Amino acid sequence: MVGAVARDSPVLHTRGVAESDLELVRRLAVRDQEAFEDLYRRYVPAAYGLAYRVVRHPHLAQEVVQEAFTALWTAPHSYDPSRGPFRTFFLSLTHHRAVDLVRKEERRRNREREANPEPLVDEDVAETVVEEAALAERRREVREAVETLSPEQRRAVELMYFQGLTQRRIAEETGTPLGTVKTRILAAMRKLRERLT
Amino acid sequence: MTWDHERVEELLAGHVLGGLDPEDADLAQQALLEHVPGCDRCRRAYDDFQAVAGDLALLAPASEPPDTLGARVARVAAPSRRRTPVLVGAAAALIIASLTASNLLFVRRLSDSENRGERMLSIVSNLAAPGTSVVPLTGPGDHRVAMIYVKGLKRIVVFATYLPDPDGEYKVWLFGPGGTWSPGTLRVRDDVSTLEIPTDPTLWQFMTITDEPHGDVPTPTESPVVSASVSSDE
Repeated sequence: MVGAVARDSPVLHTRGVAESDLELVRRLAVRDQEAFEDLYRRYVPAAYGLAYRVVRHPHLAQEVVQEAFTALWTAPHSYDPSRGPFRTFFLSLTHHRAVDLVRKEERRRNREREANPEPLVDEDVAETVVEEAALAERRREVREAVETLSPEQRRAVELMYFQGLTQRRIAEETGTPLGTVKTRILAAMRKLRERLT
Repeated sequence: MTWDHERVEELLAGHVLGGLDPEDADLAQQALLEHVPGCDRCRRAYDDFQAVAGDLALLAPASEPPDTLGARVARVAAPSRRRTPVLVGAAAALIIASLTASNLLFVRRLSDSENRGERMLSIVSNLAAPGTSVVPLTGPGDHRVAMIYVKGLKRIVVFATYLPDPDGEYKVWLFGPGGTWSPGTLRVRDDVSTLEIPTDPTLWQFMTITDEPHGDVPTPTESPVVSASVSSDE
């Protein structure tokens, strides 16, 4: 059962070598349940953490993550390796699901956001799981890259990515012209691109 | 339409973060179809922005989910006792249980029917079934094409009536956060053409059909014959 082994990391096989994400995704095409469980173990902490950060509700976060893994199992071919690593594909998929959900519940979210504004980077994050070294290292790099953004750029990215607001809603919420919001988002993405790709 | 690279990149940045308003979202989809595939600069920007968007997920602290989630996800991949391959596992079975009998009948009829009249009858008689979405694909010509998906079923059915013979073949394309995928070809036979796609509609943002003269190509090389957004509001 997936849940019973969720804390084991990394995924080791008889050769003693962790299989690449790509190998595991290829095995999904032939309905390989072990590959599916391996990918679950590898990515559920990040996916659940992301979903929870966006939807702010444990039950809804579980729904989002379950949907994302169901989609992966049902249509592994939707991942195109030539477009980038599996990690970014799967976490983007989870993010899209979470944002879809959060927009449906926007009214409730607005109330919570007003009561509990958050920074883009959690300063005192206590990681609750042990991740594979590569993922943990990437996490550190992303945080450092985000630190290079201006406060306005960070805020715009936070509101869009983690709060699920559209550019127009960000403009309304921050009292900023829509064109400025668009410019900030583009500038932020370019800066992050420079640092991360 | 003439595309300005700066404006396209602005659209793409908002698109990958999921923050475009509807009018810009439509424009971004248009750019992704008409401009980005043929523009090195914008294609590289799009790929890189997608990578950045995936990385931003790592700003959220990793967190161990409740064990109940593991059990639920495990059931997704559990061997199915059903004959229909798309109905995978107990999670799908639960969804199916909530569907009307007419919806299921509809999808199965589309799968099974070889007869043109029966296919047409299945389509027409079930368009109004609860949970069924019918989305017309539009384009510059007079092609009559639509996609159908039923709420909760991991399947899209594309159907067309009275398609003219293509120069090559009518290739169907789906665009989503993970990239582009062609699930197959819409073959012109009789008056009604159908293509069933065993996929989750919510994975995709856009569908387009091109008349590809050279068959098996990884991305569209021709302008869209018809296209439409795939609704994520499942």
